[in-house]
Formats: sequence, C-alpha cells, structure tokens
Amino acid sequence: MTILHIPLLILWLLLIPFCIGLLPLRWIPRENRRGGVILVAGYLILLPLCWLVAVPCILFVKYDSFIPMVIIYTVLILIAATAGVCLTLWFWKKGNPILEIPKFSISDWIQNLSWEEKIGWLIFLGLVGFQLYKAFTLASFDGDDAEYVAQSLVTVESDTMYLILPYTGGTTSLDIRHALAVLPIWIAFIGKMTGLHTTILSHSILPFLLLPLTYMVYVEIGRHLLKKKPEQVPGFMILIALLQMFGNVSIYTNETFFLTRTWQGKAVAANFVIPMTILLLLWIFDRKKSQKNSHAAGFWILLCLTNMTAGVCTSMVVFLNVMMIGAAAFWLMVADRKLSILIKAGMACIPNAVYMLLYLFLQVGK
Amino acid sequence: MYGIFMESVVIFKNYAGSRYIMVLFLLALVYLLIMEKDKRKRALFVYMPLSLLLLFFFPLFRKVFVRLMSGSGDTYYRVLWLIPTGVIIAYGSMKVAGSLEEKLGVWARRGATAVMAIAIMICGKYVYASPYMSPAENLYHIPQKVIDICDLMAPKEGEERIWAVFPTDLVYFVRQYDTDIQLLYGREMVEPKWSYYDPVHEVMNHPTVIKLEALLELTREKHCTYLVLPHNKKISGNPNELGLELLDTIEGYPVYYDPVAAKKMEKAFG
Repeated sequence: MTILHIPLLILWLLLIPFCIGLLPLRWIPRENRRGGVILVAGYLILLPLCWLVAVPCILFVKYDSFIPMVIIYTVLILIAATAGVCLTLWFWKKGNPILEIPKFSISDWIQNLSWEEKIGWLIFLGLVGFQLYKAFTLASFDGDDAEYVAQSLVTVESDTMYLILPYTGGTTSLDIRHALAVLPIWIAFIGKMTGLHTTILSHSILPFLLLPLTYMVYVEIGRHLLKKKPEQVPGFMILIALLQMFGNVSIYTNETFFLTRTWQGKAVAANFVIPMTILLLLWIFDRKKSQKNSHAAGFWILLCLTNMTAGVCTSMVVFLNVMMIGAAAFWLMVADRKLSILIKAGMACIPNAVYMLLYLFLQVGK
Repeated sequence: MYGIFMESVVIFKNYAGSRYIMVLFLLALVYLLIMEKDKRKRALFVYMPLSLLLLFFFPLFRKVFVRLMSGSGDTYYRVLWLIPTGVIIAYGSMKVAGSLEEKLGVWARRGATAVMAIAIMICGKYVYASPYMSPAENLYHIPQKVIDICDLMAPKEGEERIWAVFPTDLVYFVRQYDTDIQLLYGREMVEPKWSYYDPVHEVMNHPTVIKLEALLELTREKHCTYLVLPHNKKISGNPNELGLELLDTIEGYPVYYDPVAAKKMEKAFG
C-alpha cells in the first residue's frame, strides 16, 4: 500500500457514495438530512446496485464474468453519483435546496455544546478511535476469512466470480449459497479500482469505513430516542461503544462479529443492516402526526434498499430482516390500530421475497 | 418438541456466555416495559424483542428455520441478532439516568451513566483480550511466515499456477495472500465439524510423524510441486534421497521443491 492509494480510497469509499447518497435526499425530511445519513444512504444504493449488476453476470456470463461486472457497475455508479450532484445543484438553483450548508461553523457548534456534552462526545470519539487503532494493529483469526477474503482475491486475480474454490483454487460448479451474497465481489471491485490487495483492503482499510458507518446509524438512533434530552446522546453513544468493546461474551454475538470480523458480510448484516432497519422503523413509525406525510417516502425507499443490502451481505439476514420487520409492524399495528402498517411493511419486504424465491429457484435447479 | 426447545436453551446459553450482559439487557427490558409510556417505542423495544425471543424458543419455528437453511441448525443463534440488545441497554440506562435527574439533580444522571458504563465493563468481556486476537505482523493481517513462504514459491508473472501442500495451521492464510498458489487441501479439510476426507490431509495431519514416502506418492500423482512440512512433527524418510530440494526453512517450516513432480507435470501437459 502506498500513499497514492489514499486519494483513490477516499474517492471510491467516501466521495462517490456520498454523491450517490444525495439522490434520495429530496424525499427525506429536512431534519434528517445530515452528512452521516447521506453517506449511509449512499451505501444503501451502492451495495444493492452491486447486487443487481453482479448476480446477472455471475448467472449468465460465467467465465471472466468480473470484467463486464466492473465495466457496467462503474458506469452505473458514476451515473448515480453525477445524478446526485446534478439533482442537488438543480434544486439549489431552483431556490429549494435539498442540502443546506450549515450557517454555523463547527467551532460554533462546539461552543453551543455544554461542557458535559463536549466531554461526552470526546470520550465517545476516543472510544471509536481506540477501536479503529485496534482494528489496524491487531489481527483477528477467523476461519471464515479463508472463504470470504480469499473469494475477493480470487475474483480480482482470475476475473471470475464464484467458479473457483477459494479454499484450494480448484474449479467448481456455481456456489449458489454464497453467490447471491456479493459483498466479497464489491470488495474485489474496490480492490480493482484502487489497485489495493483485497486482503489489505478487508483487514486494514474497511474497518475505517464500516465501524464509523455503524456508529453513524447508532448516533441517529440515539438522537431520535433522546430527542427531548439531547444532552444524553453522548452518554448513550458511550454506552453503545462500550457494549461493542465488552460484548464479546461469546463468539456468536453481533458485537463480537463487529470488532473481530468487521469485513465479512454477516458482520455487516448484523451491525449495519439490522440497526439501520431499526432506525428506519423508528423514523417511519415513531413520528408526530403532523410529520407523518412529509417526506416519509424516502424512508420507505431506504427500508427497501436496506432489505436489498441484507441480500448483498448474507442470504440468512434477508429472511431474518423480514421476521424483524414483521414482528415490529405487528406490534406497531396493534399500537396504532392500523392494518395499513402491516401492509406497507409487507410491501417493503418485496425485495426479500424476490431474493428468497431466486435463491430457492437456483438451489432447486442446481 | 421438548428436545428441540432444550436445544434452543443451550444455544441461548452459549450465545449469552458466562457473563452478565444478558442480565443488564433483561433489567433494561423490564424497566422499559414498566416505564416507557410511548406506545411505539414500547412496540419496538419491548414487544418486538420479547416476541422474537419467544419465537426463538418456539420448537416449531426452529424446525422451519433449520429446514429453510438447508438442514443446518448451526446458525440458529443469529436469530438473536435481531434483538437490539445494545440499544435497549443504552436506552434503558438513559431513561433511568433521566428520571434520576428529575428527582435528584443533574449529578445523579451523570453518576448513573458512569455506573452503567462500569457495569457494562464488569458484566461484559473485553473483545481485545480474545485469544483470537494477536498483534498484526503486516497490513494483510496474516502471519508473516506465510507471506515469506508464499513469496518463495509463487509463480512469476505469466507462469502457470502451482499446486502446494501446507501444514494444517497455515492453510487458512495462503490463498488470502496469493491465489496463484493452489492447495491440495484447504480449510474444508481442517475443520473437524465438516468431517471431509482427503488422503493427503490424512498423512499431513498425523499427530506425530509425517510419512514422506506415502505423502510424495500422493502429491506427485496430483502434480504438486511444493511441500511445506510442519515444524513440530517428525519426518520419516530422507527428503534428499526421495528427490526433494530444500528451498529454505522459514520459522521452522521446511519448504521443499519437488523436481520429480515438476517433470511428471511437464510430461503430462508439455
């Protein structure tokens, strides 16, 4: 890895996703349009787009399938990023900006915080910084890396997706169980575009993206739950960060996956997709009546995209997310006495149904 | 049905471990059940987790889940990922701290938050003390000896991929570094729970002795040109006499090139 990789990593992991994240902003309420939300939204578009391009290539192109995938995906994400920027500029020129540049500077914001909040945020940022430091300086052994991390490298080095056994290098028939969860392919794509070895990317670089991305979701959950007591949000975040660090009560918890297998699809599903689903359920259903109809469409779109992102990460969470949304929608329906909640939630799970049908179809046809 | 239920109980116990984070979670859940007045938050942070927990222990659900996951129940614990344990503990704690502030003042809230932070540290288990964590030796986060061994045998640009055999403790890492090195057996043979069989692995996995003659019979048949032998086992047979060339010994692991296998391959493929 050289210093030249850094601008490319910033471009592909931050700038382009951020520009893509501008796309759904018009349909998200103003109070939720923050930098972190835009980046998260960018990834919720970027990753499903990867699935939509990679899966047909895997199923229909077979050998050297990674080459057309890279070409088509690059074109699509560049179009999406350009569209995001153009849309923002267009609304800005129309005098109805979708993204307002904050009138106050960061120093004003810091000055407006009480000393307690300042200390709280500093402790929280310190804990996140410590986790990033540990992610960089400690190697964690996990047998599944022989599958997931090697899969990305095989893809880059052979230009073929899911037809070579990552464990040995022997050829195989299409591995359906893993082929629909294309996160290793997205990592291979980033490796290809940045020229970085995908194992370095997975183990040393991606934690710097995935850890903050998860905390951005938790910050939004904290802000929503503690709307009336914003001074408690830093305390909430400190507890969340500590729970991640001290949640290694067994090798199975999502907290353990978060800090030891950060780059694997199941860890992303457990720590990004599931909390994001909870955040969106909060944003959609826990709103004042006056807010209900304003820009909620964006949240529903994001919920559908989150369900699609689950499929990018691991097939199982596609099914699990339906369970969670179903259980939440049932109790919210009881709370609000509205059957429409269950129907709308069911509609948001259509991507999951399509995914599961495709999975079963491919398994049966194998 | 009772047996399936008890299996779920065991899975839950294994998931929760021997620490008390789950106790904190249950306390927070009970607190929110009693004190949370907002019906939507109750739905999301009390009723939803409780119903998912009930579903987890419900035998019929487990049966359906296992059937859907192609007969494998190993991953059933992932249902528990759906319960937002962390958010419930943190939110419950903030609610307790907030109510203390109303009664006793701002320092009571600060104190309660600090107590909760300490409770999490005591009840939980520090992830960086895990035996699976070790100082990274390089940016790849794989053992440096694997990189050194791979660099020794890796084919040059434009050359054909090679076949190699590695000791079981190294097979996880080889293809994370270089996929031009193909392995006669990989992680699929090493994991005892999968109980696959491979004759080369059987020879290499012998607890004390590697029978070199038997090994070479198998590896030459498969055109395997590189052998890395374990550093902690006896080798029966003389590598030189059997036609092997020692390239180097890296951290105790002898790395051999097998010209006999290379010739055999050239004869077969030209």
